[in-house]
Amino acid sequence: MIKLEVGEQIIKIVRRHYFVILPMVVSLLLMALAPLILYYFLISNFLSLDQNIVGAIQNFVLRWNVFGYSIWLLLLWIMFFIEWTDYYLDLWVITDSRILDVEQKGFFHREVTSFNYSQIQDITVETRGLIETFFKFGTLHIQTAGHNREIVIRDASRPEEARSLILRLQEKSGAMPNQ
Amino acid sequence: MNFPFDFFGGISLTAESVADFIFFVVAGITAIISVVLFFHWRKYSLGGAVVAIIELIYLAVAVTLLGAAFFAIN
Repeated sequence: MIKLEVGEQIIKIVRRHYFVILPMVVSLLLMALAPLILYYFLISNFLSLDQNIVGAIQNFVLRWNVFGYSIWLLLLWIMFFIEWTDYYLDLWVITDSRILDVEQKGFFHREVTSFNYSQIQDITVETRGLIETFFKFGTLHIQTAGHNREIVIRDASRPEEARSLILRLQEKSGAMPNQ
Repeated sequence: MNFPFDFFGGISLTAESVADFIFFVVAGITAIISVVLFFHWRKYSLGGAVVAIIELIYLAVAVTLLGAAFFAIN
């Protein structure tokens, strides 16, 4: 659990843009429809299968359709939730005194990095391509002094707003921004 | 449809027994994932009400699908 300091206030929570999770959702939807498409493809005359084989497939599906499809959907549902958890718990907490970078790397692997505004040297926003521009998401690069490394916030929703907010809070906290 | 096999001289494998086995494996996975997610969300509570609602939706759908699978083989 993230523990805030006494009197520390959360100003904004930045999450990855929902567009990032969309390809996975579409893939799972297609996978959910795949057995139905496959079944109708197999029993259609397109493949010209032997009638005995078509009959066997129809019998099998008639007997096991509810069970098989429920189990299939359940597995896809579980996969969706694992991905969703990873997406939703990856976040950046901007407080009035620091930034917390929470990265969920699996169910039991979580990395939390915290740095003060005085450590920030430079903030760059990178928006690549039509989709990122249109849906207003991009990558925030934060160069820190203490960590001596760059903290990257990938696919952040409205990165320009986050950048302005961080710069404002940095100025307010008394730490002089380098730009 | 029945495919009786006889393994190791005593255990016979039928379509129903395979279905039962698959059902219990998937039910077990669902239960483990549900417990993990529940404690995960309790521990990292930054999701707030959204996470609680999503957790309920997850459980409701999972239980419905498990129920459908259970009644289909019984």
